Amino acid sequence: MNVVTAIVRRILSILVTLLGVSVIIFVILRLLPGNAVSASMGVSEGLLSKAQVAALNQYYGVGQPVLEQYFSWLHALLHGNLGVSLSQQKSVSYLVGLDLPVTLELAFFSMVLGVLIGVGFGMWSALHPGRWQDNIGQVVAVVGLAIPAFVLGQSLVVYMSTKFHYFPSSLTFVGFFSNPWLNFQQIIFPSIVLSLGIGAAILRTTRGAVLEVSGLNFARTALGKGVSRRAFVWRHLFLNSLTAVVTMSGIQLGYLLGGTVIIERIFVLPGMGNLLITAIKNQDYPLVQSVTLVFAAGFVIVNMLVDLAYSLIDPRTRRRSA
Amino acid sequence: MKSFTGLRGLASAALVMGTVGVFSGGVLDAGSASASTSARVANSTLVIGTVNSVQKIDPDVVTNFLDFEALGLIYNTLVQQNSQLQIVPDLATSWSFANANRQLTLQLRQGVKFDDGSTMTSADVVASLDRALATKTADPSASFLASVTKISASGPNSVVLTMSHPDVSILQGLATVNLGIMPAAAIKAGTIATKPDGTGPFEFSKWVPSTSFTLTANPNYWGGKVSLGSVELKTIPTEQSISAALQAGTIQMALLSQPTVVSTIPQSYPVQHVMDLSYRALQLQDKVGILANVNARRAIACATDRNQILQDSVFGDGKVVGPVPLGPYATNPVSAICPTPNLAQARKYLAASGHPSGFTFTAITSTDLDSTSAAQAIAMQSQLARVGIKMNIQNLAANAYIQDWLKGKFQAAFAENGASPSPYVMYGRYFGKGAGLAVPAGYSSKSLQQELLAGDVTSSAAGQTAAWKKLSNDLTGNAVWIWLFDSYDFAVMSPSVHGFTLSPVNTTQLSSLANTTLK
Amino acid sequence: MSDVTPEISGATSDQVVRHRSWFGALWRSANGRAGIVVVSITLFAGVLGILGVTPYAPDAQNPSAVLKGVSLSHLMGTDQFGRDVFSGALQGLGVSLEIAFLSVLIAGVIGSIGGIVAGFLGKWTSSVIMRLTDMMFAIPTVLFALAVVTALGYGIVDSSIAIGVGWVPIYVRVVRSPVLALRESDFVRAGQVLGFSRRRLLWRHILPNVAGVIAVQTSLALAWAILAEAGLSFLGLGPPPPTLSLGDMVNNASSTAAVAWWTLAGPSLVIIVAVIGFNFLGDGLRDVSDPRTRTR
Repeated sequence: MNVVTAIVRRILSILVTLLGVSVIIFVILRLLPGNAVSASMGVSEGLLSKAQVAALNQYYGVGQPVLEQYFSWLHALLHGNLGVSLSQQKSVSYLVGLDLPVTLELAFFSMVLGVLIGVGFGMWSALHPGRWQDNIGQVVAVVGLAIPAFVLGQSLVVYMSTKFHYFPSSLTFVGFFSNPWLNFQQIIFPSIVLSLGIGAAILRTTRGAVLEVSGLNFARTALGKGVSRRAFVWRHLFLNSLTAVVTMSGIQLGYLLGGTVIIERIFVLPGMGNLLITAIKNQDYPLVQSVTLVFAAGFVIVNMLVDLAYSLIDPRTRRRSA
Repeated sequence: MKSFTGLRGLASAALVMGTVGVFSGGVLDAGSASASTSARVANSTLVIGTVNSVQKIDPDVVTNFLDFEALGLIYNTLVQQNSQLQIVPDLATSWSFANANRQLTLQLRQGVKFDDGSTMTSADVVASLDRALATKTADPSASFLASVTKISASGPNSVVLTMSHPDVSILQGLATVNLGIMPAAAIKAGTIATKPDGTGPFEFSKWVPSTSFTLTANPNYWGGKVSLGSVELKTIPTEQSISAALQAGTIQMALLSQPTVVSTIPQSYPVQHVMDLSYRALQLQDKVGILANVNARRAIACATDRNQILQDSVFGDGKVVGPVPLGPYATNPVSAICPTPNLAQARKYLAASGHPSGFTFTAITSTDLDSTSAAQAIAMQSQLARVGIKMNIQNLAANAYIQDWLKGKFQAAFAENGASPSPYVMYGRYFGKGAGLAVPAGYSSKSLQQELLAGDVTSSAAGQTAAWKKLSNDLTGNAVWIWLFDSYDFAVMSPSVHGFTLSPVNTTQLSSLANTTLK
Repeated sequence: MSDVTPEISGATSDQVVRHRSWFGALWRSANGRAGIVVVSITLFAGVLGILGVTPYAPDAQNPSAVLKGVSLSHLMGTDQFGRDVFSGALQGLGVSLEIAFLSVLIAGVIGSIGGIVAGFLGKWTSSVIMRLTDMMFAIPTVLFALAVVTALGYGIVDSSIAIGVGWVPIYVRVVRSPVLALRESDFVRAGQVLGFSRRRLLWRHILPNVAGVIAVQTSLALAWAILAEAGLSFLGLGPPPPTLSLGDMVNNASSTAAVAWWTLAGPSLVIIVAVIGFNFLGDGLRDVSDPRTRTR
């Protein structure tokens, strides 16, 4: 009963957040100078006659009462319709369907690599505090957080293409199921670039949490009881640091969903970031609104999953799931 | 349906394979593997990298550079501009003016087929032009047909345009892809906006918005066999990544505008450049404030060192120009008052303007629309400062700039405007009678209107030369705007591309793809 | 002042002690020491850049020294116009720091006030602010950035606003929880019982106690802002020339990097050093302000 209420409350709060996001986005877009007509025609709009401009305004829905625009968008959303991109004359769900898998795959591989780097180096560091292993871990953390991803990405692209004539992601992007090997080559390099920053953040968290746990009484007791080192490390230290690691991974994943724009541009990946930038440039309101909402939904869902993971890992947190 | 564990197994297997591959020098192996893949498709497909993406596929409404290029390969126009910028036949094989240049009769090419297999007739031409003129279509080039009162077929292969006044410049207008010829049936069915159907060397194959636009050879092309199997216009968001893709062999041609990027591509890749059909100018609002003073404007013109601006903004990759940048009526010298900087003259004009110690004005730029505009502004700012003129610079986002520009809400604006060999086509829209862009033009005079009209009504070469010379002198002598320069566009190719020539006509730069081969 | 109860004066005197030894404690922490050194060097170099005290004029072209490698006369080599990369990087660092500080000022002020208000005032205000924070978190920062520059134009202030907006929700969250805890703490309750005004509680008791958290956040935010500015410039949303930031330099250099690695390495190195410095400083401040959580 308690769990059900908690879940219902959670879902309600997600809906409120998304509704708020929809309002914020809607307002921001209406505050921008220009509109879809001028964005689509550029300075050529001046060449159109008044009647022509009126025809275009009607097509793009410019000049419709703002509230009416908002509620018709919301109405369509509630019916599962993300709307139609005005500039590209395709349905938003079609465009999102093309680009979302790319970003999701990129996020997935980056997260996997990031967690491997972060947890691996983090544990390694924490188990040898103050020794050279720790120093290596610290250097990875410090540098990983400080290198701008695009410097790394751009250098990698320039280096691979000029020295090895190799730039697989500039070939037409293929789905994982149509050509797994090419798809892997296309996605792995940008993932490596993104994973470094993620890995560094997770590394710091893991190291800190493990160090803290290992200083606690129960850990000393466990070791004193003669638990094997391996079991001690993974069952006691790691599991008890897991909440912190999961939190940090969740934060990183949330950012990742909105933060792949630059890497997508460098590696020529047709992902959501690219879609969003183009849509804003074109002042394609329906597209920007719906794409942002998809991002926001991804973010809150990740957050919910993180909280869910909490309650699985640590029963104590179940009470305060609201 | 694969189980989740199966997927995960596959993913981890791929991960292990990849890691092993990368760390055992597999980068090289993979490189050669992908090179052979691209070689396999290369004999049929030419991939062109560009930072732009195709935005719209209805030829009547496109305004973006790449949309023109893409649709220009699918659609033909009645007449076209050749590389010397002269009007030559396209779908019309010949034409003649009558009734004191108030009537134009065009004879159509015969045996031309649309992609849908139907044969082009005068009915298609009439339907196409009618569609362009319809208000609902909102064709920005409809203004080129402003003088047209009637479009009619005078037989299955000839079309007559009746004009309200003498208008020989209409031929230049007819060369735009915005007035491309499409099948009447498709217009009626309303499929033009979703499925392009023209008579050009290529036909529409696939459009992935903001990613790629693919064309295949038109087997029925009237101009002869097209060697390339298909052409893909691939959007690559940064010029650096385009250069990388070219060197990696995943694209065979790169359309670039940054000289710095071009200069770092190895010599083995042939580079072509052309002056694009556009010009940079500092547009002035000449009706209000200090810039209403003709001598103040002249002082700006004389203090400006165009060559230096060209150097600073595009590293000299271009040419200093006047109002008509190229073609038979190119402005020469580039200014009637100060073709080269003349500070003494500038000070004299300042004195005459009543502000001997200078004045202040603000210029807007948009680095979104023209990445070099900020550099132009900075160079000009320091030049004007030498005679005491203070120019403030305000850089705006694209949409904000466009709004202000259209409403004339600026004192001065750094602009990159489309050019044409026909001065009438270029400036009729700004300075002609009832001009659509009169507001951003910011200046109007009876004499300019008359000069535009004089050049437009005569079809004699001598008459046109004289009229356009007068127009250029009027524009620069009154320093209506400050014309600056025209820059180059670049195409860099892999050595396997043969027979391609970048055309200076900037809406059909890629037209020679019809004769291009890949070896 | 005379009627301060022992408990409260205990808390404040503790605060005073902490303030006095604040720098010493920071210097004793390895992170703090590294942070102080690197940040001081960074700031000094940035100020030189802002004042224009550079070995060469950053925009001075020299056709006879094009794409020259690293040497004593050109510490970071020259670019394709013969401009000294080191001089450019100094100037760029100045611009980047200006943007970073301004954006963090914006985010810090708005976010801290939001966090304190959310923690200190009633439940209703608090939940509205936190809900708003959730929403801002959920919207991609690049969208805010694009919207800001589209509406306001390009420049140092505009970039700062665009970047600052993204960090506001983080300040709110980080500041709110200690304020919440403090509000429930004994000495604040005692203050309430004694009838201290809200303002006095806020200024004398709450603010000094969250100052540490804010300081840590500020240092980390500065590191993030430098990276964010570089990213914005890479997307072409940074201030236009001649205001070249480090991000602009990196972006421009990516075309020459294949033939002259130093054009990319120079400004990148400066970014990395600056970010490392602020991160160290943040860690050091955290060590000092909350000894329980060493270097997370």
